[in-house]
Amino acid sequence: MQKQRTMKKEYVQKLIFYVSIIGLPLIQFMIFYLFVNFNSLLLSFKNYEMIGGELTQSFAGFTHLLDAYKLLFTEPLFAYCLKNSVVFYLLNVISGTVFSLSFSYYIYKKRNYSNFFKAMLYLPAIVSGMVLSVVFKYFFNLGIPAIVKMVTGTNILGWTDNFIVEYYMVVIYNFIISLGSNMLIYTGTMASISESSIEAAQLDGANKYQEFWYIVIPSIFRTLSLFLVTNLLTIFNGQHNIFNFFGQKASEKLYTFGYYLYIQVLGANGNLVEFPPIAALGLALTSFAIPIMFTVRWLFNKYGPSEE
Amino acid sequence: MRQKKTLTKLIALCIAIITTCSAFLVSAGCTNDSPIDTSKSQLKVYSFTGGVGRAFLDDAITRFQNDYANYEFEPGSGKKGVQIIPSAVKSTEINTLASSGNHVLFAEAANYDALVSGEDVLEVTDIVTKPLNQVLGSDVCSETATIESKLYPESKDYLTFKDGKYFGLPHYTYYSTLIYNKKLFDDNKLYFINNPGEVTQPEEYFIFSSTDVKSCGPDGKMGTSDDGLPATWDEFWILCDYMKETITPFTFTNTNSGESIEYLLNAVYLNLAGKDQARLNYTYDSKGEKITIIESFDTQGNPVTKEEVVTNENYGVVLNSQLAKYQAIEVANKVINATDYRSTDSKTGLNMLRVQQNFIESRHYGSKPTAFLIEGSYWYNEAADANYFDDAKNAYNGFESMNEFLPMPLPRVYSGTAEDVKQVASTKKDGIIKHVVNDQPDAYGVINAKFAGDTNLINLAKMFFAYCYTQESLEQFTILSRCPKNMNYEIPEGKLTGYAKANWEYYKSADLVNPYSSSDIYMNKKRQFSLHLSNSFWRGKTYTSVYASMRDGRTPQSYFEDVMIKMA
Repeated sequence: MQKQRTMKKEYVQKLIFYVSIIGLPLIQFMIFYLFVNFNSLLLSFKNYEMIGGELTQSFAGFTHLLDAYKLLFTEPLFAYCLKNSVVFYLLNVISGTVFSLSFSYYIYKKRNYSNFFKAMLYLPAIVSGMVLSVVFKYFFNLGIPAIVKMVTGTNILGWTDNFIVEYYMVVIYNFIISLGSNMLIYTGTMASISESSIEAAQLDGANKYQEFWYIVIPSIFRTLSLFLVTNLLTIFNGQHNIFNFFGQKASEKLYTFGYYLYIQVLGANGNLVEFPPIAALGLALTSFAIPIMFTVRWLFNKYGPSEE
Repeated sequence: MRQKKTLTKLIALCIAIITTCSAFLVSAGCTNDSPIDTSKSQLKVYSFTGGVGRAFLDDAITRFQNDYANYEFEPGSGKKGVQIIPSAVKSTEINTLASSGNHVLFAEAANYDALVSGEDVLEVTDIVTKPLNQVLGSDVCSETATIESKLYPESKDYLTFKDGKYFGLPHYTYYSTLIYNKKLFDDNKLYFINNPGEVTQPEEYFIFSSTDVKSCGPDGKMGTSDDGLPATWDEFWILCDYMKETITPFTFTNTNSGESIEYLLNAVYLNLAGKDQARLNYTYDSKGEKITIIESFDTQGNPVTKEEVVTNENYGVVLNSQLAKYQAIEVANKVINATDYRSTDSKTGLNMLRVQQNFIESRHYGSKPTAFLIEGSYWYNEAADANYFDDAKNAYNGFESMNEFLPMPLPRVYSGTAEDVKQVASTKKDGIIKHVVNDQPDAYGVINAKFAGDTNLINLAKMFFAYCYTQESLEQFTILSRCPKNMNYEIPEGKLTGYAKANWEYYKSADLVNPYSSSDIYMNKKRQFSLHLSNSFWRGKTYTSVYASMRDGRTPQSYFEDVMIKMA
């Protein structure tokens, strides 16, 4: 009897521990992912209309979705969105693979000042993205023109008003900002590589480049491919800090799909009437994202390097 | 080695604490720390502080608390009087009423019909339609007028769209405008002379001495306060060219990427279109009256116009093709791209407040004074709250005698001379072309429906809400915020001074465009036609903002053609 009671107590304690650990993320997942996406899916097929002061809703069928596809293929604005979204993704890939991997390897090998670089490169990731972009914006808008004026006596444009450089400044900012967080994941994964594999490679006479290419990359390839595949989604939903810099008035040359959706929702100002077409556009973009993601994942699994 | 590890751990701990606490530190300034007085009933009131500040709210709270110091809002509880807890910040709390702890809210950028449809706000018909002395008690308020009697007809129509009931009331209003420094104009004689005759030199357009007769100005009538100011946009550019060597014509902030240019576009459009035409953007039916629209452009890029009525069927195409809209884009293009018309501040991303400060001090500091500030009419209150006027008075001798900032009456006729404007004015009522202002901020006062079950609390909330619309409160609001409430009321002579007076007089003498109607089309498509900031009124099918497009080298014609096809 006493034993049963102890077991029950242990079971309850384990259950409490389990719920307290898993509960919060589960609730978060349900509210901010499942519910939001399910509601967005339903919205795509609804029609809200104010008739005689009453908000009415009806089944819209595929009207909004078809309109969304038509919009995507006929509106010239979406050509900018596609170009910019792909450019930002590719930059993210370059900074998140080439540079992050190089830095991560440097830190993993505990070279000079590696901890300092680790802290410095990760620092932007712990500061709020909005704060960081505001600091960046004001430095280039006010700081640089003030320095130039002090040194040369000439006035130059702040970069948000300088349409020649604004695009490149956003590109540079996104490049820098995506370095840190990836690096931390890679160093963590590299730390789990078996020391014996590295030693074996070194005994076989592998140089650092060969060690990196033939041992480290295959060992972390699952993490790397996960990063590349999940980041593909940012082509269709990433606003890439455009809003932080330009509010709702960015030049169309800077538009991404994510930014477009973001300002549409913001501009709707809680008006249900305007939500279904926006939700349908999101669904249309998802219909492109899913097959691309699965194809890329399949390609990585089939042709990517193996640990064996 | 151990010391190094301890130091590293200490640094890591410090960073972790700073990072964790930063969120709390940020929100620390937003709370109201007044202790709760349990001997009184409590009411929480939110007000958006942008533009109008919080002085009016503090004043209303103090008066209400004093007037009802012995009143029992919760009968039988033993509590007497009320403690009102203000929350005066810049936030979008109005969009999240379900999670708001505030009972009464005065908010900007509120979507009134969405709030009503979502049943987020409480019905207030009883306090709006009853005489105020009955709502507030005759010992506190002697007014026999109802709040409803102070509403503009357009406001009544929109506010009662659902079953004829009221769920909120208009809050403050401001309009898009240019601000000019009258003393700068006086001292430099920047006024057009009446009948200049054959002009060979630019200075011949302007008066030589203060006794010269000025032209009729944009209202087309001699002897009014706007005499000598540019009567048409042609004259406006003559003035800019004349002054630009010694005075910078325009300053504005280009942060928020073109918001100031939307102020300019709205102000130019409204004055060129006139009230009746501008109201069609909300009613979509001109009842047989024709407006001038652009049909196409000829090979030289000149607009080919025609007259058209607006109906519930063709409103999309016709309203997007208004000639006045194109003319406003042409004006904006000139301001954006004529670099010698713009201040350095407008090119460096300086924020709104710093631009205001530099404009205020421009006659005393810097290389050139500035003639016009593109802003909302609330700007003076913001600058005063930041102490810019007090600082300037202390810093510069003769500041007050050298500066007088006023809303700039804009041309209502696009091209030609003052004589042409006189002709147009002669066909109008009283021989005057009135200026037009819009209600820009979408600001409403509402009561949070979340607390509907608490009868005593709701009675208290309704009484405070009604109290904010008494004659005394409306006057105090206008005096303290230097902005009008969007209500039809008068202020006795002598109560307003300085910019508050100028702003009030400009607003009251204008044709007011209230930006809403109870039309189903408005409710469903308002973002397409409302002149509110960030709406689609100025957007094209491809292009997103006039500012960004003009800056990127688009022509007004190509932008406008994109706007024209938006609803086609």
